[in-house]
Amino acid sequence: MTSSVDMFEAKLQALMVAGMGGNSRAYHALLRLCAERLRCYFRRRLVGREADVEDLVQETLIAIHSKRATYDPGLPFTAWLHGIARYRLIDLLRRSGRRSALSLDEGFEPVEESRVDAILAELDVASLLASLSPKQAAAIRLTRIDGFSVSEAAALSGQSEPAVKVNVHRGLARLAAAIRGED
Amino acid sequence: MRTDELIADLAARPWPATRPAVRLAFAMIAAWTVSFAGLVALRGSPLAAVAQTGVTPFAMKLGYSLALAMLAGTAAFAAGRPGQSPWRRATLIALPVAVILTSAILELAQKPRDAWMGMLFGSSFLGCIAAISIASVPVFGALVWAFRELAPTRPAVAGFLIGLSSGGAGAVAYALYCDETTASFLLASYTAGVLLPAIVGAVLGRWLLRW
Repeated sequence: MTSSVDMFEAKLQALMVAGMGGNSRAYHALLRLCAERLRCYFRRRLVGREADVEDLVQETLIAIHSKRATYDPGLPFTAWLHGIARYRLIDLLRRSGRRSALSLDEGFEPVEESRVDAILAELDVASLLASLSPKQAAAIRLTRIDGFSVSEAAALSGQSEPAVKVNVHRGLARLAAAIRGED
Repeated sequence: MRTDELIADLAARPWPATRPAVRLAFAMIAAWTVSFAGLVALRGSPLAAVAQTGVTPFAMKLGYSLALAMLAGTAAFAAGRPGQSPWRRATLIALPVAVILTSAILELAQKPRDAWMGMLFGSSFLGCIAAISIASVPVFGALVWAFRELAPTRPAVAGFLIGLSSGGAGAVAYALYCDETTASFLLASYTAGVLLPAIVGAVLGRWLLRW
């Protein structure tokens, strides 16, 4: 259990560091992952106030964004995120004049793994495809990810059928090389 | 607005070039200069009392104040970053206090009991507390301003540490004028002088440090 949590933590941290370095796609993926976590976290603690959950998720995302300089890249991202989420939740409860009987100090519940994996996989694919030429990326995306046939992909991308085949073939070869680190 | 639209919007904005640690240090130094200038205006040139007290008591006062300002300042910085605990750094504050406490006990042990009051409170106890507290006000304000870039999740704790740090900075300025010589005085009045802004900071922190 701990190892998958550690892996997830390491990914979040890597995304945050990439975001700090100006990679807006990594930062975008990070915010989506944060939104998933926050939604779980707040939903559990605001039972009967479902209408507030999404508002609080958005408020917290804005807080993450405006306070992102307070993150220390040497320290766990999850602890930072939890600190902000907890503060925003307490703030909401105080504003609405209700003291929570819930324990606020528990950490995050695990998010549905499949959602997390989907977002991360999308990021990986997107970043890999970005290293290809637009025609190669389009051919691979249409045939291998979106599931179109070669002739449909040709029509959609404005390439000829042989060109789609060649672009898929060359693109995949290049991706394989990139993954092996031979770029 | 839908959450994924908000995310896309946030992700498209450039990363800001804010550096909270730099801003905090700048606020501390700039505001301390204001406090110091105020003392110069009110009490004349600094260090006049050093000739009379000797260098060792002066160095002790300066060192104690500086240590409190710095240690409380770094603990406050940790308190301003979510997920970080200020406690470990805050316990370091006990170190200079322990040094002064030990010196004061050794000092008092050598003197008869009826001399103790004079050693602890000197002739300027209340004036010292007042001067340190007043000199801490600009620093406190500047640190609260610098904290707008930070995110204290426990505002009362952060407020206490900010108050303690600004009290320490006020004491650094006041030490340049103070003509007391005993460690006992340092223990009683400087500690009280820095605790007063710390307590005020803890109370005000809940309002001033909200974000």
